Amino acid sequence: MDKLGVNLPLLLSQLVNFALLAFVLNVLLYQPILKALRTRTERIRESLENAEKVKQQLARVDADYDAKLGEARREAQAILGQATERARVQEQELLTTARANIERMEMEARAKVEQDRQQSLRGLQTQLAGLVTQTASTVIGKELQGKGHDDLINQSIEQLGRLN
Amino acid sequence: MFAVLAVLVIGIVLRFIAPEFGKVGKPEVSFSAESIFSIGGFTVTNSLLLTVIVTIFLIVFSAVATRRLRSGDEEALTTPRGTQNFMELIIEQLYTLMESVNAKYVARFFTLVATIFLIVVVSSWSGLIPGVGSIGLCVAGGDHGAVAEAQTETAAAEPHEVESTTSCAHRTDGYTVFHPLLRAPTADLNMTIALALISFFFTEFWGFKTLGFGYLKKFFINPLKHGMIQTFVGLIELISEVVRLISFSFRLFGNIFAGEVVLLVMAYLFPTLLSLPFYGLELFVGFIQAFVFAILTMVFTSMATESHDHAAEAHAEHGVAAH
Repeated sequence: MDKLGVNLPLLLSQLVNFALLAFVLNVLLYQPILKALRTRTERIRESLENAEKVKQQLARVDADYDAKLGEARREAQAILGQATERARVQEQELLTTARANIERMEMEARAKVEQDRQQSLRGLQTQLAGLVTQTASTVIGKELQGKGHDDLINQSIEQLGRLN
Repeated sequence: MFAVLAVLVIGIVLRFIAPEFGKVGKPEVSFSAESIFSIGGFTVTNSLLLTVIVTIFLIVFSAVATRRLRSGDEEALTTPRGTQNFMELIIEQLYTLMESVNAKYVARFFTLVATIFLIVVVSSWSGLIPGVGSIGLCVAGGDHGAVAEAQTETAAAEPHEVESTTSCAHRTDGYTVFHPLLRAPTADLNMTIALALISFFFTEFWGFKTLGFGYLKKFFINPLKHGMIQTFVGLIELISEVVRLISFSFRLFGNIFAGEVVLLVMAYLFPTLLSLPFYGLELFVGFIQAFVFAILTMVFTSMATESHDHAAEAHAEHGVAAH
């Protein structure tokens, strides 16, 4: 081994040199860098987890929004349906009321017309009876008096009534 | 690709039209690291000197890279820049790779494996810096290894040839040898054996720590219970544990040392530009060797902490819980 230059002091010095280098590099190089890499990895993992959480929250918010939107649409549809139904009912009620009113007014109008007609008829009969009496008085030359006068009027009215 | 081809063509053309341009001396190859100076009887070699420089460089670079992180700067945590970004890339890639091999014990093995990778890759690449291996001292005699001694013998037989090819030989009357001031640490067996020993020690240590004495069961298998073949396999495992020391150290040393020799020879045969493609190759080899050394250490330590025995597994689970 001497011819190859191997001797114990040099070998030991290389061993010591390596041990020293390994120790110093462990303190100065490996530990700081591995710690930094671990910290960075941890941060990236946390960031990814946070991103996943935010994504899930966003998905939940989206789902809530969709659910609420659907619910609101359903409520709106229900309200619309109720309003339509109520409007339809009111329409029917109004129509019924209006028809009833119209019928009532028509009946009232008819009654009034009938009443007026009857009244007119009675007035006409009275006038006509007067005219008949007057004419008859004129024709027969004497004035009818008392019961004879009233009987004649009533008789004329009855005849007119039958004619009418 | 065109740039590499252009460099090759220019190099070849220069070789023929100006043979003296960029000419270097005959390469001297030494297996062992050359001594530069001594401190109280302790000889400092050129590879040890560069090892210290590489170590200081790694420490300073790491300190600069992580200074914002260590000061608790929030911006450094969120937006890494410059050297911090570069080191984070390397550390994260290494950690992820190791996690894919053994996620259970990655935190335990990381410091060892990452340090092996960093020191091997920087050490191997440091040998490619211009001046390393080419700037040095001319020393009389010298303490070369086997090859140098063989050269000395050759020089004695053919003194003229040696004098004409080594730059140091021209300066003095006697034979002198060139000692580079710096040498790639991984081109020195002391470094590679030290790394192999560390890898071996921690493999066995973690094996025992995790499995207790159950760790030995994979080497010593009862032939009556499991058969002769399993016993033989266990013994081969035991031998391979020790042989691994040699394979680890000589593979790394061989690759880096051979790379330096290739560069020297190419610079000698085709001066100036032709060695450039081989620099690219050596950059790749340096990275691959560091990667192989680190990953093999990771794999062997992982294998050492695994057991097929239920009692040992229970011990391992207990160890993990305690850890």
